[in-house]
Amino acid sequence: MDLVQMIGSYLASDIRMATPILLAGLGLLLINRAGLLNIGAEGTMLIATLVAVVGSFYLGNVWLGLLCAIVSGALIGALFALLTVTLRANQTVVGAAINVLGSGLSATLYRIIFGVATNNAAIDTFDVLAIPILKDIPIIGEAFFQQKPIVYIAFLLVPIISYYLFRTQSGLNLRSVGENPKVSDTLGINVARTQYLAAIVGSAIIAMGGAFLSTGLLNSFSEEMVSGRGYIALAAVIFGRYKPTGIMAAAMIFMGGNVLANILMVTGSNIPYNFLTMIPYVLTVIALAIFARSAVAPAALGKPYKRG
Amino acid sequence: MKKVLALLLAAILAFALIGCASSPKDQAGEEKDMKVVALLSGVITDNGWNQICYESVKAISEKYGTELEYIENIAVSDMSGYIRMYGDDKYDLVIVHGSQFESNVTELAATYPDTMFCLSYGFKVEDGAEVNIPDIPNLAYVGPVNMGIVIGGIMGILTETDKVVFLGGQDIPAITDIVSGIEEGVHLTNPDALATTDYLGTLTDQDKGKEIALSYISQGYDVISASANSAQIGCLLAAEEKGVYALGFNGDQYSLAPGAIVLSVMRNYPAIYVDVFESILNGTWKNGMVIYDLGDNGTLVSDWHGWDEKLPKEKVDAIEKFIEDLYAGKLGDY
Repeated sequence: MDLVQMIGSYLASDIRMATPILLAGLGLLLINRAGLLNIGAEGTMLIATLVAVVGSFYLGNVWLGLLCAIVSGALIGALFALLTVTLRANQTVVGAAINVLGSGLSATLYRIIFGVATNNAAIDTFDVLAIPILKDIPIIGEAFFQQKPIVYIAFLLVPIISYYLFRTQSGLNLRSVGENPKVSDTLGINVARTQYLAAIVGSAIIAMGGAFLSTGLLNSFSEEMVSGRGYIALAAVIFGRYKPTGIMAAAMIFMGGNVLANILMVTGSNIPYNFLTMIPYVLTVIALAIFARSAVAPAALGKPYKRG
Repeated sequence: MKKVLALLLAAILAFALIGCASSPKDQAGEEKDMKVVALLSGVITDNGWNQICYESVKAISEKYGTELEYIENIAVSDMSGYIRMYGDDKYDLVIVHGSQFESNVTELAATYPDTMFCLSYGFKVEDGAEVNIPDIPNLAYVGPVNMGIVIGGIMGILTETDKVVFLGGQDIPAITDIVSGIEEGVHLTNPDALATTDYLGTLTDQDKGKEIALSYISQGYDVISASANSAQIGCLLAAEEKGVYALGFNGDQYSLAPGAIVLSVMRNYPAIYVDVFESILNGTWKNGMVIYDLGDNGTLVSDWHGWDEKLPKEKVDAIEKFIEDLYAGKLGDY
């Protein structure tokens, strides 16, 4: 394998692996920008991984499975908003509860539906959708134009959400709710409705990340398969300075660390695997130290808003 | 209204916890009924170490009608409590699944002489000879040995590029005892082959397993096997995607990647624990090291599932001869 081809395939692997974290990060961004602190991405993703598999299994089509997962995410988002916006419960506690719920519910439902077996049910999964002509460009051809459809969707969401948040009236309203709900309220913005919508749409996007993991990258559900990606996404939002492009960079740097660890492992470097496993995290800390500037979190993040 | 709603939601959230533990049955059963429980470090759907123990208690319960009882996700710090609980309840057989629990069980076993304790143990192939096994009458260290030799030998025959890789999940006894035998096994059948072993650093992250396996395949490795619970499924999928050979492990994993998995090597804990249970019934219980060699059916090799038609004939013959000779003890003391 020549060098150009190798770089291309490493880049492709980076983008593939970064996609679930990118989707989860973008979903969290919408929620955070509306002033809600949701640490429940891991649980939301876990439920979505199972729902996508179940949907694809019973409906026979992976896109319908994805749709089911998106609906499951939206429902969890609505539950989160109900508890935190309407009932004004502590947002961190509710987020933690969603993580526990996701872990327990996905495991229990999986056992009820598929039983405890060593063999997984065969399901429809996403195929690679290569884009003609563009796919033959050296290096970036394999990385950017020979991926599964959700990868394209995830990376297209970056400019879309950017545009929405920073160029539209509705995006401005959402951000102002996150910065100062009282002022937004007096200006006639419906704070509760904005936060509900942000939680629902954001959680639906997070769920897409989970669905991609189980029906795009892999072809089955296993317990705890999200393996911390939901928490990495939390870090990616902060590391990405609450901007879609920043989150994309953060997700790719983190997974770039994983790719680097894989390269070091297979080339026989004899570094103990424990150190290799650390690389993505160390890389993220270093990048954070270099790029960190003043805090940019929405001013009202995590503070319940009471009218009047 | 809000209060009712909050209560309702709390109830829904509490439902999530139900999946985490199956509570032990109370003691209503008759005196004569045998009682067996498995104490596990993980979940019964992990596609590996804990699932195989679940299969074991299930096999006992199907054969002898005992209650199917197990506790999942036990931390080392909590294990002593469970051992005391089942010891106090005078269970006949308590399976403590994993050598990380060794100190818990050696400390407490003597306190409950009516209960037989089994510690599922990874006996290392290399320099593991002299583990200090204490002589406690109701404690047995139970496990199969030399699985790595079987896997390695088959991998050595399958490879065309003379590069094979075996990936463990984490550096823990249940896995290292297999990893340590791979190189020796490969060199039994293919002295020139490069036998690489490494660890994924995860037992749950399938995608990580898949990406690491893909990296190895791009380096010219053409036979892959792994022992990493759910994460190993990712390695098998990578082999399927790239059209190289793979070996299943733990159970018969053929259907996970039918285009790649030539054979599966199975850790036969179900038969082992049925055997141990029968030894209690018959009064032939043996404490200390209870090792199941290849000849004792501790390790099984699956069916070909049609691969004997797909592979070149000389490889099929070589593998069949290797397994036969190995199990007959002709290749050394395994």
